[in-house]
Amino acid sequence: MTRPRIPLVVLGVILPALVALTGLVVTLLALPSHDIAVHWGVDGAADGFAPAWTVPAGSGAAALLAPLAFGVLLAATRRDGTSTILRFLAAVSLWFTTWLAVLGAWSVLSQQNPDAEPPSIGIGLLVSFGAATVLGLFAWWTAPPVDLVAPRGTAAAPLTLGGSERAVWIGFTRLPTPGLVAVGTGIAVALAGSIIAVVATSGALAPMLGVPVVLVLVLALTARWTVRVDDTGLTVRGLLGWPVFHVPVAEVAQAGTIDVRALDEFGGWGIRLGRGRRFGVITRSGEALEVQRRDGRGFVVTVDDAATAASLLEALATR
Amino acid sequence: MLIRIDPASGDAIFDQIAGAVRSEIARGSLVAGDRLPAARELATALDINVHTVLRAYQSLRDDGLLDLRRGRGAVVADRAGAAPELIGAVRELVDEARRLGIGSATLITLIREEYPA
Repeated sequence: MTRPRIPLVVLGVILPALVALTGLVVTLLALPSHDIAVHWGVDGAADGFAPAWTVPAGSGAAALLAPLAFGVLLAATRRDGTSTILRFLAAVSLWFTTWLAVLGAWSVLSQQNPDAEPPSIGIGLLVSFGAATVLGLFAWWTAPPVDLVAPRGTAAAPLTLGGSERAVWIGFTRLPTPGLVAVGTGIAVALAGSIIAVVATSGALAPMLGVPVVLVLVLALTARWTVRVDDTGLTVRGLLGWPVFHVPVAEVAQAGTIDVRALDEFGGWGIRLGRGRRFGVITRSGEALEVQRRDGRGFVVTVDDAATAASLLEALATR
Repeated sequence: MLIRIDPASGDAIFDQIAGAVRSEIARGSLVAGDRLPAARELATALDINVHTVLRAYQSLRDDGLLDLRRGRGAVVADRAGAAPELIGAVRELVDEARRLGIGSATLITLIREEYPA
């Protein structure tokens, strides 16, 4: 096991499991023999009652699901090191478990007296959310961050261009098919959800149909890009001709290639701001053209055959 | 896809573009099914007439390297995969011609005689 993985196991599996088990033990030890409130209305007043054992059986068991799921995920991702998403999920695991465990324990502990009025859920939610958020943030800050130094590419060897020679490099880059399928599925779910919402409310929520429309538009604008290097510089243009990003050749200090980790360095895919003052058009991880501007900012676009593009841009910039 | 042209070289520009596409196919950076840039975009970037680019694309289609489809633009043809297999033989031929002191014009004429259009 690599070094960053041990804190992930402690924060996302062991600690949440201990919290869940502690909650379960406290709940079982304090378990009253009478029925207790297990459901509350939107006004915070109790409106559903059940035997007390349903609390440890329900929320107590559910609290164990998060560390279990995160443990399975850690075992399944055999890659070395950590990633932003694993760090986030470790924090979510501890957050979710703490919330359910504290809420379950609170509902049993606050209903020890069978003759008293059941308490409002408000305090329980406040206490459990508070405790969960504190521990969740603790996990996020304690979990090992991804190695923070964003790698910088080295300058490509410039292409040899004759004095009267003109050259252009044009490449295409698009979201990989699994990504498109995932986004398409998400849009389909959003469409189904908003249709159901509109029908269920007899049209009152009609503006919700705008959500899938906007999603389709964003996908159409960012799913495929044309990357062009010519004597004006670097131009990256979306599928519908917009948006367009341009780095004039006079602003190019250095052109090279780098290996991009989309999630860790840019936080995802699309039009991104990355670490180290870098702007990115990111469709995937892997080979990318990196341009360093004279003002210190960077421009990164993931594209195949980026090495050729970099050599040409380097040649044009030094011509 | 890298396209280089030299207006001062004396070869027709459309031949130079077609040649550049051929060598991109030969070095494997363009494979069957890949789309070529729109003729207009290439023409703008190289500051040449769009008809020059179209003429290059048409000559590549006549050689069976490209499919030109309305709406989809120029796409590298499935048959284009055969070209890389020839490149080795062509290099040997050129080396042999150099060794014998035969100029490129003579070599091309010899090939034309063997393989009329």
